[in-house]
Amino acid sequence: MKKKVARVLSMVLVSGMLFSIAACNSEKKSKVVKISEDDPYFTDKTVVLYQPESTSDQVSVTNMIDLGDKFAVMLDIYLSPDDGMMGGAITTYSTDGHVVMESEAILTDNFEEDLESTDMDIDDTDVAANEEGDGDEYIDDESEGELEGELEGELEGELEDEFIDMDEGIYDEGIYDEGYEDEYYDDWSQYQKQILIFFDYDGNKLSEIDMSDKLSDPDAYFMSMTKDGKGNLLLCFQKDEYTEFSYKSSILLKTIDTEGQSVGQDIAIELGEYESAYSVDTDGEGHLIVQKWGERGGMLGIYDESGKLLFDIKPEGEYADFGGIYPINGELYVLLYQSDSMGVYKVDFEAKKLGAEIDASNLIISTPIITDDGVFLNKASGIYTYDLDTGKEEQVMSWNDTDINVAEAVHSSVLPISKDKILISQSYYYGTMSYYGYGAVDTEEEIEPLTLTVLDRAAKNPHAGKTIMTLGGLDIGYDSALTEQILKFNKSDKEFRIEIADYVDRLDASLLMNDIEDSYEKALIDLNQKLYLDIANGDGPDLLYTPYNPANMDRYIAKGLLVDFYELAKDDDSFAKENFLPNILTAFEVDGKLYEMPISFVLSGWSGPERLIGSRTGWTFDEFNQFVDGLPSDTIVFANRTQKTMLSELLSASLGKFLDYEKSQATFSSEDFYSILELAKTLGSPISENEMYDEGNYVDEWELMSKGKLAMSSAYVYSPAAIVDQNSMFAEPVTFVGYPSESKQGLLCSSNGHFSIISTSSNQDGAWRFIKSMIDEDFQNSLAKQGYGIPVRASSFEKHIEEAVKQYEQMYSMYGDMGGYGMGNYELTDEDIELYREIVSNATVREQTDAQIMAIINEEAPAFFTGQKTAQDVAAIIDNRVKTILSERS
Amino acid sequence: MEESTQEARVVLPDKRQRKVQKKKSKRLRRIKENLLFSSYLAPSFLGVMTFFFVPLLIILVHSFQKSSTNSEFVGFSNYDQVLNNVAFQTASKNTLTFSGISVPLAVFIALIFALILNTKLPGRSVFRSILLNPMMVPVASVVLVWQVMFSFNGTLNTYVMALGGPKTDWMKSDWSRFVVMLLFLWKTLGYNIVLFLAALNNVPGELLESATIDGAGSVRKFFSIKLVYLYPTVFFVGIMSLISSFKIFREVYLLTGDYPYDALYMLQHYVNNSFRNLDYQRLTAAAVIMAIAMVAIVGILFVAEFRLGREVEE
Repeated sequence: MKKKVARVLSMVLVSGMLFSIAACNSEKKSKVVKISEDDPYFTDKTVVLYQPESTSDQVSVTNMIDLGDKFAVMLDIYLSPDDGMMGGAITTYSTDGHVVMESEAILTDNFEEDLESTDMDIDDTDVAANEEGDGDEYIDDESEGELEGELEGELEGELEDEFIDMDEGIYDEGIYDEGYEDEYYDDWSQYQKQILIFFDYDGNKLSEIDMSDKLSDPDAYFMSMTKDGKGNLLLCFQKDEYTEFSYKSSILLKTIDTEGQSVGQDIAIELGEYESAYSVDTDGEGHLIVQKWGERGGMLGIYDESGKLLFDIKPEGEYADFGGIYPINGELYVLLYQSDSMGVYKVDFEAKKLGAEIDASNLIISTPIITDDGVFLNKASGIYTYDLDTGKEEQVMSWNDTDINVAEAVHSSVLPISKDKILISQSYYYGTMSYYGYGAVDTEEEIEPLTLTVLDRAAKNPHAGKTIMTLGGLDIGYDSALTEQILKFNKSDKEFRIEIADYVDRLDASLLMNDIEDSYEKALIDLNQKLYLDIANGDGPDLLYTPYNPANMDRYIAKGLLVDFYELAKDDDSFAKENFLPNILTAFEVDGKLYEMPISFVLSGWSGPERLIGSRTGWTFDEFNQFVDGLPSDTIVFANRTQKTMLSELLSASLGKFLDYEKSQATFSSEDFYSILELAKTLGSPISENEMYDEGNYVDEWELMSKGKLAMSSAYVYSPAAIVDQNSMFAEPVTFVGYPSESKQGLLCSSNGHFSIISTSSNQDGAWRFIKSMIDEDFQNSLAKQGYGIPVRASSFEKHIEEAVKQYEQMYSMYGDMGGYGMGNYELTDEDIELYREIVSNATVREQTDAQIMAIINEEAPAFFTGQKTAQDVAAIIDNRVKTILSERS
Repeated sequence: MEESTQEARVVLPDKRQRKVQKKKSKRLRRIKENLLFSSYLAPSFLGVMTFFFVPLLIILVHSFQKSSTNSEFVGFSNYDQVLNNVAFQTASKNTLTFSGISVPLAVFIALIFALILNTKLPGRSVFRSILLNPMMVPVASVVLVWQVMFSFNGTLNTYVMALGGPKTDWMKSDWSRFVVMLLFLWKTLGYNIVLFLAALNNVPGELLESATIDGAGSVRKFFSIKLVYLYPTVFFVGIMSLISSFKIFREVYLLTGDYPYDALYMLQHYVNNSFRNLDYQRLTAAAVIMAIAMVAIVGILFVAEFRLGREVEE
């Protein structure tokens, strides 16, 4: 009895202890972390590398070459002619209006007059989709270089003296005769120069040498710069010689000392027929490594110091190519891309071929920097040392310890001098281009110089006392506008400092090594899982930024991990829902709450000729089926779409219809879903995405559009110019229509980037302050100019339309009838602008997907597509499996 | 005490002092012994605490909390949610059905095979090896073979269609549970047979001889003598098979993934998916419920084995 009582008592005590442990804590909030004086920090000093004079100038900067006590960069500069464009496109049409050829040209001031003087008026080649041609046949790819006799004659003589053309296709066509070459060179030299600059490690310019005069061969163009291992620089030039049926290239290597004086003889390397080079490196062991491209793909040429070929390495597999050359510790490693995989290999000089693959995936997913002091990696989070043997990385510097624009730094050339000093050089300047796709220049923009930044480790952190607020997400370093805004916030806010936690650095490279279908999506889902794990465990960021949405945010919401912005801002007078596009914010709401604040958005759906679709903006499945059945027999509904893609699009607006979350039931066994399966099977192609673009499988959509034989295409609307694009492609007015759904909704909206605040964050005030800066008028107006999607702020949306109209008019006046895609250009009319406004205001549904459920559908559907099972059987299995998912979630 | 003289003198303590000293030295010895035993047990004890008791405590604590970021005490609400969850109910039903059918079959068929192999059957050692081979085959290989055989375009359907039968998706229909049972039996029988063979060899030969002399037939001998001696082994094999039946999740997961046809959706799927979705509260509540159920079942089996075992001794 006593024993039994003792046992019962001890059970009660244990239970009491358990319950008390369980009950003693409350909701966890993240720790508040403040910056101390001893925290690392790097001061930055900015030096001008080059000041472009015109927004049309284009400048490329080589990597910084470390010479022991100084470094050198070469600037390869293309100047724009006075009052003219630097580059443009010549589009040549056959007489039935189809695009025969597009080529690039450097154009002179007299371009427009010259064009008018030709007999060929581009406008006349525009034909509506149902007009007959003049009898000339469509010229296929193989004979693209051949022009019909009449057209050829017109171009010869008329354009010869006026245009300088860089495209070898023009040479192949025999339009320009031998005598033209001198004229070509004389004109060419005015517009190109190379400047070699030497700096010391503090960024002080030591000397600047114009190398243009030192180029003896006018036909050679600058390719790259490296060092010869003897303290000199090796400048690499390539020269192409064209014959009637082929071309041959050669490389010219010039050794110069640090005073810019030539050293020794130039080295010439002859390449094989149809071979061209794109970089030359040295391995420090007396070898020249030339990355080449031949008839069958990439090649690696190993030459001795005198330019004699020792051996070529031609990887197996068609169109394999080398992505990087890494001379490390006296050995040579190369990155090889093949059709279905990529990897790093060691070059076996004895066997004269590639050796075994080594495990160095870090070299692939980060940007390696090979220096005399070892290998460094430029990653989204900072600069790391990398040990090839052990695979170990050690951080030297975090971008968060600087006050520079992270997106620019990550994509610039970086040279670590030591752990306390790092140099960053911008790599290119391509003018201030609009993002509306036409290359129009924004002449109102100030011309920013190309800069060099010197980072030095500081003794004390000047931001001591500020609270660290973490912004987590994927690919934050690719968004220059976002990182610029973070920089502004960090400089101006007295209380908080944002640090970026870019989860792309935690990418599992092994998921990308083999180019299997969906490997990239799987890698993204894996990254999202890591982010979710950190947040669920309380170790996540304060702010979450999602540039796209491959994974379901619903589970964050279901777990109460996200803050409702409406609740957070209810006492904040500076935020009013009326200031934003109401339908867009509503589309992002979940049960009346806003957990994800979009900064900008794009719209997606379908487009097609108005004469076929009518003026509708949405349709049910029945209406879509009627439309398909009513098309002419020679008209294709879609081109280049797999059955899987069709199925995803058809379900993207109506998946929810088949899911009953309350009853945890799935209702795919219905006529509607059978119709969707049937449509996907009929309208889609049975081949995989990878095979879609292989020769023989790819269908020329533009040809079909130009002849009015294509009924539908994908439409992505991000600007009024998108309306014109579509009109231009179809060569007739088009209608924009949503994916079929019961509610007949218009185009779906998806964000170009949205923010959330984590509910366990102790820094919600600071987070909200930062997000407000992204949705205030200043930033939203800057989005309007840059074309990064459609701003969500109503006033900025109007500004965005104004900017788009202005830039389109500018482009149209500069390019005239030469730009655009297929048949010619259409002006941006007031009707187009009104249509654009209507499309945006009709977007009420956000693009949603359920990855788990779609994975099951995509797994089961192929059995129906291949005819092995009926739609009813497939739907029944999907119901059975999806029911389990819904039951788990309930 | 008198001062000592040049000669050393031993002074003996009195009786009480001797008794106290004796007790002290005994206690001291016991303490030393305990310390010595504890030092030998410490590594195992630490291991059991670290890998069993502490995680168990953590699981129990989590099962009474609201979420991983909110430790608010919610009583039995997580258990209530789990027990009322349709997915959990389906998984429980499937697991019980699977174990309820396949474990008795595993015991019964193994016993039959053991009885056959215990006779003077020619080539019985070869048969023994064949039956034991499945234990050595890696799981991945087994799954691959099963996929080839039972997939929609697999070997079995080829034969069935050749005989004029319908093409069946064995893994995505109600047949799937039988396919998995077959897999379980194929894997488990060998080990069970070995255990029964060993037990059969321990049945006293003289009892069987006496029974034969007394005119008992094979069936009578089996039920009255052999089976009685086999009771402990039957229960042991039953428990081991029960534990193995829960491990079938490994093969099912490799064959069908996270969300199989609902006939194959087991408790471990529920737990595994909860883990993937980081739903720690449901995961821990489900784990506790499963543990209680297992303890109850095994407890019942042990009680039954104890009662029947006593009979054998008598």
